[in-house]
Amino acid sequence: MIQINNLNFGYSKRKILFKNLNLQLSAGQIYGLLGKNGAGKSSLLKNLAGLVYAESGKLSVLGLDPKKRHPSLLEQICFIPEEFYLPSVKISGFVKANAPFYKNFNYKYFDELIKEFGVPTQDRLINMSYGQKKKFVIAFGLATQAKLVIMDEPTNGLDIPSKAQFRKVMASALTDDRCIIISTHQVRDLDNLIDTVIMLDENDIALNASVEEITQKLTFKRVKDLDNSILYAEQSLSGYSAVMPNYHQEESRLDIELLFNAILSDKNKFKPYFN
Amino acid sequence: MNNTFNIKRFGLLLRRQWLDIGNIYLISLVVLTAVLVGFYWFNLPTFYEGIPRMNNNGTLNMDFRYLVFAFVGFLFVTIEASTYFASLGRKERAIVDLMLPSSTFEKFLSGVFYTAILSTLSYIIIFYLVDLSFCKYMESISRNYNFNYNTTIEGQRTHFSTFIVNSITMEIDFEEFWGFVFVPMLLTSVFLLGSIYFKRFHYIKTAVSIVSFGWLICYIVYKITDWMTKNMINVKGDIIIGKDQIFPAIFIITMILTFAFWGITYIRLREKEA
Repeated sequence: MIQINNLNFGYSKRKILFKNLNLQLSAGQIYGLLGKNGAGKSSLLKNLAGLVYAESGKLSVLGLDPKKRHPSLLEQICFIPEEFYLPSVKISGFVKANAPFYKNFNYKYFDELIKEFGVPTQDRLINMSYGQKKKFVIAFGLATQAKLVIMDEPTNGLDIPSKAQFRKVMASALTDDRCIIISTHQVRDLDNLIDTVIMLDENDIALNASVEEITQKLTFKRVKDLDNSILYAEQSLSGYSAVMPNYHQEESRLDIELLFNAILSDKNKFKPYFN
Repeated sequence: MNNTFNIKRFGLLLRRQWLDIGNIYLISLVVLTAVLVGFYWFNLPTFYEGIPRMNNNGTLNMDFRYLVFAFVGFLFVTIEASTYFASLGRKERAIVDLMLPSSTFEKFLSGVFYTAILSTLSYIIIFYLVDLSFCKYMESISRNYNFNYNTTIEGQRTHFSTFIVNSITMEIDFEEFWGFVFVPMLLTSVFLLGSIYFKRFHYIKTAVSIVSFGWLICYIVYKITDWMTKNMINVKGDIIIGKDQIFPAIFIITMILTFAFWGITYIRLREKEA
């Protein structure tokens, strides 16, 4: 669905964000995009949506170049930014004005999502809380039935029950022809949701592996003492939370936060495991 | 699906834009009406010894209207144009507008429609209605006056039994001014470009750019003509350009400049990043 070849991008010649970046994303997957502040997560998402232009390289989304902003492609992209603008209209007014642009817009599904999220339908969008606005934007975006769903920090501003609702809704929103990319700092919010982890670091992709592949090759354990087999460990109350090679095909639950810190501490240590 | 222009999509875009800016636009029309009423109210001809200011032909002197028409019209259409794409300077707003499934050409055409066509037309209609209302009002007053004496205007003895109030549309010879039809388009095209070119303070920056550029052009033209005519004298007498040449020239120049500015605006919109 998405093909990135040798992408070079930066906001200025001195500050290069991506250098010869290569990436391929497929439909039927939920990708978790992780990285430190300034690693380029939002910029990568904007490149995919055609909101910023790369200096060189090839970027193809659903076979089209996003920077041309063809309506046929824009109709298939649901981009939910971290900060967004909503006009001073009620939900019905917004839907009336915007939904007809998406020929597959599912009004029934939208109503269901609005009900599920508990967004007040009579209030003007501008008067809603940040969390309610966010839930509205997510509901509208998913109801467009776009094939590519891009979310930048979607759980920011959501309360704890809403985060659980979000995970439930996103899990059910995934179809075989849909690709969902979620960028977040709050890695715990992606627990049990994502299929593939993509980590950005130092102008490149530090990790691009499915959860299944990660847990096959690495194991996440609590250990009392450190030994040489441990790739990375963090002190916890009862000892250490450790990342180790999964020599014995043990089953363990992916600890995204631990993995994130482990990769950022020394990504070269993990390279042999993920080619 | 045509990715450049689709009439249905364009219609949807116009409707969406109206739902977005319609309320503010209507409020601006109310403000415009109030401003025009204020100008008329304070500039209506005053009566001196029972006679209002009149022109030679016995019509009421309301020449202030031309200045008001040009000044308020300039401000109205340029302010409207300079706000249209201004929202693209705000990241969160730009994302919404750029991601809308409509082509860049349709978004640009929508800008031209709302700034060059709708704002100019609505200004003309509102000005006409305000002018007509005040003309009717002055006409109703005129019935109360009966000047049964002669008065002198520019040395001629003239007798008026009453005064005539012509609306502005009756006073303007449109055939003579057809060359200026692209002037409002030109003004809106420049300020529309300014609204997308500058991130903040669009109006003032555009105005300053126009003045600076205007001065630069004048200076260059002066220097070139000065250089070309150095040590030369005019043997043919004064060069007079008649209205047969000047109006088509104004028409063509303003039209070319308008399309040029629209072209640049379209390119800027296509290159716009969020």
